[in-house]
Formats: sequence, structure tokens, C-alpha cells
Amino acid sequence: MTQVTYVLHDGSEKELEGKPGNSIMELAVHNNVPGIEAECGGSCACATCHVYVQASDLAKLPDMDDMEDEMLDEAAAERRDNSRLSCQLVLSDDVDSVQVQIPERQI
Amino acid sequence: MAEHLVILGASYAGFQLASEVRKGGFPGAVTLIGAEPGLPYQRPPLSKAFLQGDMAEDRLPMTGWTFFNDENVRYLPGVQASSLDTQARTLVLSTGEELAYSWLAFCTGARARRLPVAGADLPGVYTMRSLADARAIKNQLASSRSVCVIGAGFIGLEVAAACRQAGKTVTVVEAGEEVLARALPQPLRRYLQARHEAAGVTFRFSTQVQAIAENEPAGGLSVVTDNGALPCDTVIVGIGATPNTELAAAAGIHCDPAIPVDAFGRTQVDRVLAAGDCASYPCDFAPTPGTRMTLESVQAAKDTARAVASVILGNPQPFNEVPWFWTDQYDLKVQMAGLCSDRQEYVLRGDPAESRFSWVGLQDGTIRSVFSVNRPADHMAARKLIAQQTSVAAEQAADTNTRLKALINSVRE
Repeated sequence: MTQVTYVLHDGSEKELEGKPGNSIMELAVHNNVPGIEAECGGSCACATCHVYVQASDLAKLPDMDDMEDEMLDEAAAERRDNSRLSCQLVLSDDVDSVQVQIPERQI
Repeated sequence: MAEHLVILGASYAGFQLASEVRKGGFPGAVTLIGAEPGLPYQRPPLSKAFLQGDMAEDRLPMTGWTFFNDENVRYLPGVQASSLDTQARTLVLSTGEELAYSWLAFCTGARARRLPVAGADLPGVYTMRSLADARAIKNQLASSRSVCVIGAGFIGLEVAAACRQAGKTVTVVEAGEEVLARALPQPLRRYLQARHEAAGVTFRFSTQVQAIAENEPAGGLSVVTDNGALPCDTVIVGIGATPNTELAAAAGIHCDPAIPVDAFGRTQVDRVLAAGDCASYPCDFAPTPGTRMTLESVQAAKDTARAVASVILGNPQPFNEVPWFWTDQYDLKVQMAGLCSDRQEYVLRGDPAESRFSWVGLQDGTIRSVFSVNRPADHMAARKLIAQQTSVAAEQAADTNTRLKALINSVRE
């Protein structure tokens, strides 16, 4: 299980436990965490599940592929070095904890 | 009476509507009624990752039980409305409960069209629409060797790709002359057909299914067509959708065949609204703008639900989003923005030989549609370019050294 902390736009935090095989996006959506739209349901086709990953957690997560890289340029909120699409961040038992910040806007 | 929004249908349109009205601070009661059991769930993966065994069932829900508690939405899964009185503004549920509403939203979606031939209900013959369908097909595929897919639309092709990748023999039977005839420009239709054929799919075009029979004594099925009989052990039918409008029609709402609404989702009956696959609405991006259509997509279901929510919240905003859609087949991420039309001229951008290209549809010097294969940046820029009716010259569209994104602010005077 992975401890996932979502830092919401208003600064408040929500901590959830994610199962291996679930993505950070799915965990948010299933638990009514606001600010992740996931319009395409995780198909890497909409860039509305954009998150900023805490820098020290970036290396723990699956590598970014070309499609995600292209899609991130199109996210509504500013793209930063720690930007990822949370639908591509699939959790595993190797990852004990991750913290992500939810951007101001997804659309 | 206190406000009460009753939402009939708990898939994309219904759930989005519940979510939006609560986000917007609707103070009344909200009841969300869904015919299927369990949580509202995602449909696109059913014919893609889920069918291929790449996505566990517990990843399909589009929300969790937390939502209903947190947002004070009464959710009734496995329930349908059996009668509706639009004068009294009441409805009776399959459970016998009677509800009074101040707003009623039809979000009942559509069901898979069944083959109108003998044998369509034989064991081994499936449609692909619900989770129950997808589970049944997955089960069947575990022991299947040969699949006959009826219909070369999006569902048919996604299923064909999944079955082929699972090593099944796949034949696709299509009454028309091509795959995806209404949805994509011809060069892309040909490209997809070629990719399926390269993967080993056999197409039978201009072929009508006349019956499905049990293949005695060998066992399995026989798909009887006007071009000969095709033996197989599994038949999967993807021939379109029929809107679920029986309750609306019984209540006196004229349906043709969907529930017609205006750009805000309002029907002709006061306080009765509709969104998603059960409705038809004017589309700004149809070849003739304003044509009434049903855009059978997740995006349109959500966006029409947003328009309906805006009416309920007292600040009506019309549905006017650029239609977009996607399909995943083999290693191809195909994304579409805008609608295909004979009036557009298509310009190629990128290289089909590299499986990375887009066809850009231009009309009167503006971008009207973009159909992309493995070029998501083109797709995302396209949605804005089409919305803004951006002027683009064919040379610019074709030039992959220019990102489409860079053209975004060159709006025609």
C-alpha cells in the first residue's frame, strides 16, 4: 500500500492509502478528492489529471512516456519540472509514500 | 415545496450532473437513479484495456461511495422509473416508491442496438455496452478461438483489435463499404483498415447478416450473410445505439428517436431536462452549424450535463464545446477533434509510415477538424483552434516544424 498525500489548491491536505495497480488519479476520483477532473478516465487523452509531484518523490514513480510528455504541454496550469499526469502514476508496493499538489485549474 | 432534482440514469451524464449541481451549491435534494447495480463506472475501457485483461474491474468506477455521503446525493442503483407524470411532477420507481420532483433530468443513455435477425439471442452472441456485457465477453473469450464481429464502427474495431491481440481468428462483417464511414476522413479509414488487416483481421464489406444459426453438428455458430456463411464460436455485435426514451415517450414527450432539447438541455416540458446519449441537441460544429445531433461520446455526455446543471443553478450556459473523441486500437492512439465532413479538405501532417500523423480538416481557410494518430499535441491544440475558428493555411497545417499550438492566437478578423 502507498500513502498518498494530496495537497489541495486551498492548502489543505488529504491523505489516502492507495493499492498497487491503482493510479494516483483513480485514488483521488474514488475518494472524492477535488481538483482532478480526469475527463478521459485515465486514457492519457485529456491532460485534466495534472499534478505537481513533490520533488523528492519523482524518482519513485513510473517513467514518463512520449504521449504523456506531449499531453503535459497542453495542461491548463503551468507545466513545471515536477508535472505529471496522475492517470499515468500507477502505484506499486515499492512506493511507500507520495505527495502531490493539485494545480489551480485543469481546464 | 423544497427543491428536488431527480436524475434518471447514473452514467456519465447523470453522475456529472449530480456532481456539477453540488459544486454549484444547489440547495435542494438530489436523487440519482441508475438501472445498473454498483457504482457508476467508466465505459471506454470495457472495449479496450478491460477486455484485454489490462485493467482490473475495481479500477472502472468513476467515483466512490464517499461522493454520495460527502455531497448528500441519494443514490439508487439497480432501480428504474416505471412511470412519470409531468403534470403532477411525480414519478414511480420500480421499487414502488413515489418521488416528487422540482427538476427532472433524463440521463438514461442508450442501449446497444441488437441485430434484427433470427439467432441474435443465441448463446455466444453478445453486444458490448455494459459491464455485464464486457464480463460475459471476457469469460467467453477465455475459451473462444474464432470471433465474428458485426459492425466496423468504433466498438467493432476496438473489439476486433482486442480479440486479435488475444490470438483469436477475427472476421469483421460490415454492411457498408468501409470502416468508420461516418466518423473519419477516408485516408484515415484506409489506414486503420490496413492496420487491422496487417494484424490478421479479415473484413467482409458490403455484407448483410441475415441470421445467426447454431452450427450443427460441429458446434459453434454460423453467421449467415448474403455473401456466404461464416463459422465462428463467438459473435460480438457493434451496430450502433438506441436511445433509452421509452419512459419519456410514455409521458408524452415526443422523441425522434432521442429526446430533443435546446442548447441548454431543456425539453418542451417545463422543468424536464435531458443530457447525454438519450438526447439530441443543436451542435455548433456540425457540417451545417446548429444541426440537431446526438454526439455519442463521454465528452458530450459530460458537457451536455454541465449545460443542464447551469439551468438548474439559475445561470444557463449553452452546450457549445468542440466535440472530441478517441479510440485506442493496437498501438494507435487515435484522437479526434471536430467532426468529419465532405465540405472539408484534409491536409496531412506528419508521417503515416511512422504511425505519427494528423489529418487536418480545413474549410474556408479555417481549421474545422483534426484527426490524429499518436500526436496528442496536435489533438489538444486542435480543440482550441477549432473553437476559435482559427485561420490556417494548408502549408502551415502540413508543416510539422510549426506546432499547431503556435497557431492558436491567429484569429481571423
